[in-house]
Amino acid sequence: MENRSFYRQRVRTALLLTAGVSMLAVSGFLLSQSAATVLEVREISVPLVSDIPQFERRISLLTDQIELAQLHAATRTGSAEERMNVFVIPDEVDLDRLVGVFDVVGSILREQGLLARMSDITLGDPTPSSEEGLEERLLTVQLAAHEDGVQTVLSLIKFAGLLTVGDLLSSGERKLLLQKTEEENPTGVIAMEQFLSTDLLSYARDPDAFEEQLLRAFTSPSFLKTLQDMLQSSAVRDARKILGGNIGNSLQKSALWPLPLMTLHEARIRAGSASGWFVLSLQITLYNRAHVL
Amino acid sequence: MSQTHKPRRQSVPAATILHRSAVPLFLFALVLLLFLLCAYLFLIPRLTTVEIGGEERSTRELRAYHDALLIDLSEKEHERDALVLPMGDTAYSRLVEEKHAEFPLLVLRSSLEQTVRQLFPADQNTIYLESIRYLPNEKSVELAGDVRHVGSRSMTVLAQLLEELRSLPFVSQITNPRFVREEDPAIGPHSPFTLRMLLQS
Repeated sequence: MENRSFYRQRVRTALLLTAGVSMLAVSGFLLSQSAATVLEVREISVPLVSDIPQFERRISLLTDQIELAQLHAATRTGSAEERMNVFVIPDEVDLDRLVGVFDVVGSILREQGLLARMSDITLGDPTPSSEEGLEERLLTVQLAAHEDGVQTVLSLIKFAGLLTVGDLLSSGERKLLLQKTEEENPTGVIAMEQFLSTDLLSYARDPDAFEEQLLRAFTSPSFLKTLQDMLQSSAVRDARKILGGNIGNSLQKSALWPLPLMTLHEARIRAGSASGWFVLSLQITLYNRAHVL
Repeated sequence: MSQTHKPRRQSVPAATILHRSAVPLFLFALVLLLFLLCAYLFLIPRLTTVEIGGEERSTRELRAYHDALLIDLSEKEHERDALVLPMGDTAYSRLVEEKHAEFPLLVLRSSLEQTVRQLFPADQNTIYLESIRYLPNEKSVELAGDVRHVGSRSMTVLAQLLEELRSLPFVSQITNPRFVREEDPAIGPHSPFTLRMLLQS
């Protein structure tokens, strides 16, 4: 009888101890979870809470800008895509236009005394491009020109295929302008869209008119400075100088604008017979849309 | 003479200690557990939820909301950019970006010539640059020419030129040229070279 009571007492003690230790373990777990939750709040929630109102404000601004841009897009006539398909990356390389461009540029540079000689233009066979849906072919030409002539030819190759002011700017510059639009005047997105989609040749021939139109929507000195810095880049300056001069005029008169898309494949430059003169050998890649069988 | 008695220490068996501490331990653990459970279920959520966008959100919900906002923001930006810049992500725009990434040939040429001139300011003809070949797709430049008018030092001068070109900020790599000295009846001993340089992207 005494043995049984002693045995019961031991079992009770063991059960109480086991339950006590288990509850302590669970308490420890709960304590660590609570501490982790508090730490999480300090390290995660606080920074998130400071970001969220900013994100919500930007989303609201972007929604307004999208609505405005959609309304404006509905009233826009003639798309850049159509011009690209006809002139920039056509179904077939338009040899007449291509040779016409080199003729116009060559004759103006000769008149200015900047070009001594231009070789025949040779055109390679089309090969599939690394860009899906396109074919490319190499155009080879050599010219003996003054440094200014070389610069003009290289700049024209850079402008070849660019349709708008937006194309003249790098993706980083365009992003910066749109960001500034959000910060300065979100409703100015239409003015910005109009500026970026301005035909490059038209802009180069009368840059002040288009810039003034844009600046009517943005008056802050900060925006003005960003825009001025961007428009002082060498590409924009060259566009104004070359396309805004005789060459741009002749390209427009001869209906050669927009130029077909050309990228530089290889350029070799060596000193010419006189100081400041060079022999420039160029391999240029031309593009056309691949024929789907 | 008084005699001091030290109390004799009685040894208590461990079983007795455990038996006597079992109930207090159980009660303490139970109270602690109940308290922590209440805190974890009611107090902590109340203290750690934040009201954002008209709703109470826990840290996890806040993070999910933050991520959803980021995705929404990126989609809206993309949509706005597609409307403002209609040629967004097309073969055309990628080719135009390639053009922007090109190095201006004449700037490249004048930088290389300036490096050469700085190396030998007194004699501009020591390093003769015959041609510069630029391959935009490979982001590389080939510089061909020769070192002349320095007699038997032509190969040393070529090594100096190599070091100078390596230090240019826009050059990422130069393949070592063949160091040779040749005899030419017109210009004497000279070291022709073709240096292939990779440009920083």
